[in-house]
Amino acid sequence: MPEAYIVDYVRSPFTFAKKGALANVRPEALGAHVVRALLDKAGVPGEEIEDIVWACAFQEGEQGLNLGRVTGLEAGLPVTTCGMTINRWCGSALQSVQAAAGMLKMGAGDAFVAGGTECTSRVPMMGFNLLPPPGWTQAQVDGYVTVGLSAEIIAKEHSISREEQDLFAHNSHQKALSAQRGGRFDAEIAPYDTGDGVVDKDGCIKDTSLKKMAMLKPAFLKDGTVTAATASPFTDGSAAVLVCGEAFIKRHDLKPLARIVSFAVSGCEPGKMGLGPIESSRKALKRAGMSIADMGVIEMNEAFSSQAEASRRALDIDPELLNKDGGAIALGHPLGATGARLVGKCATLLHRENKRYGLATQCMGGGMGIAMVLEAA
Amino acid sequence: MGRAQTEQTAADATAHYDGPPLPALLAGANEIEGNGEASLRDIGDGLAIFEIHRKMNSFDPAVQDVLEKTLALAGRGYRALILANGSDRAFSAGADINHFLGLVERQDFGGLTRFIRRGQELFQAMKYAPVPVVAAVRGVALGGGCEFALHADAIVADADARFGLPEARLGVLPAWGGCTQMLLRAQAQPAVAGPLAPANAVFDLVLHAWVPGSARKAREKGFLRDGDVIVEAGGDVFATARARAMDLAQDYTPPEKPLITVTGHSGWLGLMQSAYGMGYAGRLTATDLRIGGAVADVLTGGPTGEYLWRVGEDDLMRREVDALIELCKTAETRDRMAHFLKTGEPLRN
Repeated sequence: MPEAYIVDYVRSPFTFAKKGALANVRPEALGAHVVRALLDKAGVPGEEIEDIVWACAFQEGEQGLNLGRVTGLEAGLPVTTCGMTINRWCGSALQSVQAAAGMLKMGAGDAFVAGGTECTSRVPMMGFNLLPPPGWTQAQVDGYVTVGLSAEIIAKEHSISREEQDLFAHNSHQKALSAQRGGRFDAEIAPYDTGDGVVDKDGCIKDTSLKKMAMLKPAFLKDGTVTAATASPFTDGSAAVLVCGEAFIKRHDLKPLARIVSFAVSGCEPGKMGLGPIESSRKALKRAGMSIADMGVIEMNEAFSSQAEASRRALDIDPELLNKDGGAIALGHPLGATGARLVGKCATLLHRENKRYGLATQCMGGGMGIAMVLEAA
Repeated sequence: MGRAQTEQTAADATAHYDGPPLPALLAGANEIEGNGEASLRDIGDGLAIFEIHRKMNSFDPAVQDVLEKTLALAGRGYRALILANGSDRAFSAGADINHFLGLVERQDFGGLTRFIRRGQELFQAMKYAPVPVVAAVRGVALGGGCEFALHADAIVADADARFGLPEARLGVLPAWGGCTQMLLRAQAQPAVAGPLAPANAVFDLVLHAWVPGSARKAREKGFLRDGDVIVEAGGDVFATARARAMDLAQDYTPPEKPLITVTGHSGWLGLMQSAYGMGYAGRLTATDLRIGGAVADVLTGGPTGEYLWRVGEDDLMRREVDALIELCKTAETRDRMAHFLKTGEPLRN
């Protein structure tokens, strides 16, 4: 079976939904920009791409026309390059990387663009028409949809205090701020010209203080501990990685970043969706024949401080290895794009940090986890 | 007729009309019907004006009596009707709260049902009358006053007019067809497309009792339609309404009765999800959630409703009445009303 490699990684700046600099950009325009930037960066012609394996969590309205196909066409790829759109909510783009790798491994192509887009400004989280199964109870709807409550439940059950959550979020911003100031995002961000100016920086990172964060009221539960500062913000963004096989890499003289070693998904109680990374990471590590101690880089999505910290503790992850350049609390979480950012970031960090193995993992609404183990190439 | 075209017509009419404002218009006008609380007057050219004469121009049964007689004359006594009054404070602040609260406190739910049903029937009769009806709105059009205007063929609003359905502040919901007419308006807006999105827009508006600060903002929130006219400062609302009524009276045919798409319990869960979320966060009270549930019941066709059923206005308006009566049976709703009457401020219980 051929091996699948992450060859390159590009993303758009991530900016606040509604009030951010990309709020007026349509999803296919943002995605097409990222796809073009990725192929330009890698030096791979569009006609060589088998498929755009795209992700989007709320495929409605502007995002509803098989965004992967529309994105490929808008990117100017030949009509012969196909396009699809995957949905696994928050983990959609990590799933799109797996789907591309899976096709590659079964011999159904040797070069894929995998990634995704979420323009939360244009199609809100949960969409315009939230229509749960009519037989569900309110508790079931809450468990499936109201992810903030899940963060509260996890904070309580795993004894993660308000102060610990604030500190986790503060660290995320400080790491992201340091990376931004140090130019460590420059290679991954493809600046976007909106017509009103070029957006070349992430918009959600804040140089805030623990004192200010402590003043915020709980966002989801009157007497709760989760605030707007300890939840990832609504975000617009797009990210993509190039997934190729060995023969293709040799033919085009490419320098891959990482080999995909293993992958896993797992399910848990919908109302505790934030714990998804625990079981999925364990499964992916087991399939790789490794343990968490073998991982030199770990990119775990920060949907909320509480769930990320609870998952970190359960997996016994060294905080020093976790989210080196900050996570979604600071960078933002465009649901359809985040997974590709995590994989791309993990693959690039393996080289920057000179590590061999890395883990990219995240929780997913509805009670799911997803994880991928990478090896530096 | 498109919005731009309509506004142009009205603007032209305003520019060419040099007649007097309402009080002068009414000087010498023959009263056709009236009882001291409200009147119907002939202002010439086949036009008639329905005017309320009460504090904040609120509705009580005596006003309903005159409206009933007014509508009985449609097409015979006049060929277009204008809803207006001389007050620049209030087009109408809705149902007379003293009358309403009296019925609630006496637990005269039969009387309350009749008062509400009669309001619905009159507004429906006005909507489907054989003559066009134009609401000339200055000041507030709140609650039942807003619902009165929503049933007109066209609204001509002063730029500072304030529309709103703030019944939730009083512990109830709009039940003179307000939920139903706003849902119809939202479903006609291409920007709020989808099976639930229009209901969601109305749900938020009613649950949070939003009262937009200007006519322009009211248009954004769906109170005003494309054919409705906003008269900027210095313009004459009555003259514009008069011109609009004359315009509509040519070849007028009443609107056809619409069918409304509802989403059943699935939609109810969808609407209530954000409300419950706000409840958990302490931003909505248990009473707010009860009102929200009642509003969601109306907008989605009730718990027995099926996804994408199509129902008539009557179906949703019957639900409005039922929901209102159930809310009025609760102590929390009565407390909200009594508190508002006493202090003029909403009670957050």
